[in-house]
Amino acid sequence: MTAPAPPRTPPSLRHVALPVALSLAALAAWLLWPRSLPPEPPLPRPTAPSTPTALPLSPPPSRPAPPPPSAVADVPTAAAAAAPLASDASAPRVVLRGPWGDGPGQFGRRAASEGSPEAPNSLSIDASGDVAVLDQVNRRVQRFRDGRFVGSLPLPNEAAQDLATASDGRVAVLDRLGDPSLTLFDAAGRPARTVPLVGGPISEGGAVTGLFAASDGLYVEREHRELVRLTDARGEPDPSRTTLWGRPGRDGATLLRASIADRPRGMVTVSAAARATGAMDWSRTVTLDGVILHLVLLDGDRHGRVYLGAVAGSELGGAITEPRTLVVRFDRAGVPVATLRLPAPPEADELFRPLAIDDEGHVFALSPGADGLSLVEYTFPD
Amino acid sequence: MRTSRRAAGLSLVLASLAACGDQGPIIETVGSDVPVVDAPAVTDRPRATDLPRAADVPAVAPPRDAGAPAVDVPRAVMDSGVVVVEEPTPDLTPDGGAPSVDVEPATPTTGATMRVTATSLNLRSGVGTSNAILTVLSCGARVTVLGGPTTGWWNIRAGTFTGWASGAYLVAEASFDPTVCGDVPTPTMDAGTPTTTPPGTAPEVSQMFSLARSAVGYSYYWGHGSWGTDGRDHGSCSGSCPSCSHTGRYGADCSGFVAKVWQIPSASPVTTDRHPYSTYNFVNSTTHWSRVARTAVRPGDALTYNTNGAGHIVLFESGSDPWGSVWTYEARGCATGIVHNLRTVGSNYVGIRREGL
Repeated sequence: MTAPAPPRTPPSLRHVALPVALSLAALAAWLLWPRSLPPEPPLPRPTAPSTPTALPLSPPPSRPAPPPPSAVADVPTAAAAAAPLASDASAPRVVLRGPWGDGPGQFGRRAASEGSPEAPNSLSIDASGDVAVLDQVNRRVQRFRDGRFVGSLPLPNEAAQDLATASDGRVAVLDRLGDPSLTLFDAAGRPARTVPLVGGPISEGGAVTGLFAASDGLYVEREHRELVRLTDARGEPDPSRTTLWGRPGRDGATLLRASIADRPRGMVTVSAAARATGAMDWSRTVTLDGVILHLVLLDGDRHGRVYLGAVAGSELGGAITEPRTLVVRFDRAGVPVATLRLPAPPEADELFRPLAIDDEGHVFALSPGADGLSLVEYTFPD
Repeated sequence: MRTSRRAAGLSLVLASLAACGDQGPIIETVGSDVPVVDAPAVTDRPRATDLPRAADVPAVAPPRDAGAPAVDVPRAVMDSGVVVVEEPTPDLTPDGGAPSVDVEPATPTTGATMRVTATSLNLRSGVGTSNAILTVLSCGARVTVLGGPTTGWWNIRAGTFTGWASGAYLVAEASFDPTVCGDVPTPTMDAGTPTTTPPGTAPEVSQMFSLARSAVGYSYYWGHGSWGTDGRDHGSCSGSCPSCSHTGRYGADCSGFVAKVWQIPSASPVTTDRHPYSTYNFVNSTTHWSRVARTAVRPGDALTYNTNGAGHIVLFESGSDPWGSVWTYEARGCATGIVHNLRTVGSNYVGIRREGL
């Protein structure tokens, strides 16, 4: 059940009230905040005893017709049908679409009768906008440019769950459960190095929750908390397994963390710290519409804006109903400025990292359908 | 209204800042100023993959196990190793001291409740093995007769499925002997520590996780449920299940794994291959378990779904992850086998709790 759309805040109020509050907050933060971070500071917990008001959601607009499926290997970029969105929202755009199958531009999907169903687990968008999709059922990474298939990288097995693209274009793939390791490909797309996951803070592959490419190497995340460096920028293993407080944003300057603060009330805390100094930039708890099922996205664009994605639903009779994906954008100061509500995620498929953003903050979502996989781009209103 | 909300928000900000103490500034927001934009759907919802047809699955020898309900089925159809029977005129020969099976042909009437006596029984869309498998019924499952027989096949309803199955493996409710499904006390908890656990008595949660941990690393084996006690002979799986290939003695699929960890329908050594229930049973019946709310699951419970013949079940260990992922033990699939990992669980999974916990 959704509430009616709230009235728009007049620009003058918006532009005055928030800066005032933020200025006070920033001043207090500057006075109170420690000058550097401890090695692994706990995420701040919400302290306000009052009950936050849930974010009011607009009623869902009528759904546009899906774009026509493409049955060819090279999938051209297809524009989605015009969307009846608010005037300040851009229409979703189908970046690429491929049928289920094992040919070029097609994607593997498996719905075992007694096992975990699978579709492509993850994607990455590099600085030039090129897309890499982890097509692990077909043991490969597929690469796309302008929606067209341009090549693939072979994988040794079907167990990979995440991938990352380094700034030099090299691709790395994470296998948590089959042969727990990180595989780094060379510029020619050949497997160049494999680094075991277990060691240092990583006690088992199943504890790893993501793979990240930073300017100084490749990191894996442990239990949605700190990151552990596995290789340096050249791809050489890092025996010291140094840690990073949070996920690196695309601006190269920010580290990010998120934590569910109150699942039934939809509260999530997001924190940002300056990578260079270790000082906390901001920490904020937002309330989303519904019971939080789990988080699916935390990243920052090159402008320093931060994006949080969560799957939320309604609890009815002990079950979770009406699942939806919500993506909140925070500005550089940590103010939540907009929320996108995306179509419901697949109910059964576990997509390891189904959402990604590019440098400009466009949101990309893997969307498995009956006939194939789509990659859809969503744009926040300016 | 707007002004008072603003004032309240500012007060909240300042109160948070004052209360933050050594944790640094905490800025609360009620979020009421965040505009929400609905992004329209652009793709279809996924559907479950069709179940394999009989012609697609290789025939392999049925497993032999002293602990499993012994139903010798010369004309049984084997789907990747699981004993799935459906031929209407089998030669039911008691085997190796196992409980005998009532071989009298069933003569039910329309509307009667029947019970399945085979380890697994295919429910097909029509008469004959050339028809698609709708679901697989586990031993002891209750079905309702809708019509038949037609050349030995009965038209039945099982849960939400309506189809045809061999009447040779259906008996009237009143004649059903649970021992044919192995529902008897077995004098071991696991291969190394003999105990007697009467049926319906749940093992301690710590025992469950001990069993689960001992399974990690063993292969995915569709239609099976066993593993070693020495961490060896993991077996291997290749291909796309259920039309996959398995080598080795041990392994489990998701439902065989949870049934073994839960020790249902009765205690049995982990080395004994049993697969008494499918995810269909875990979702649609309450034989040795009951539903619990998703928000109320606790260690030792399971999360499961079954939709259109596809299903999965995981053993819930902990929900301590800050992102809402859950620590689970699961027989995930052919590519990974039985694993311990943090994972997300979709909204269509339901919570179930073993009886006695």
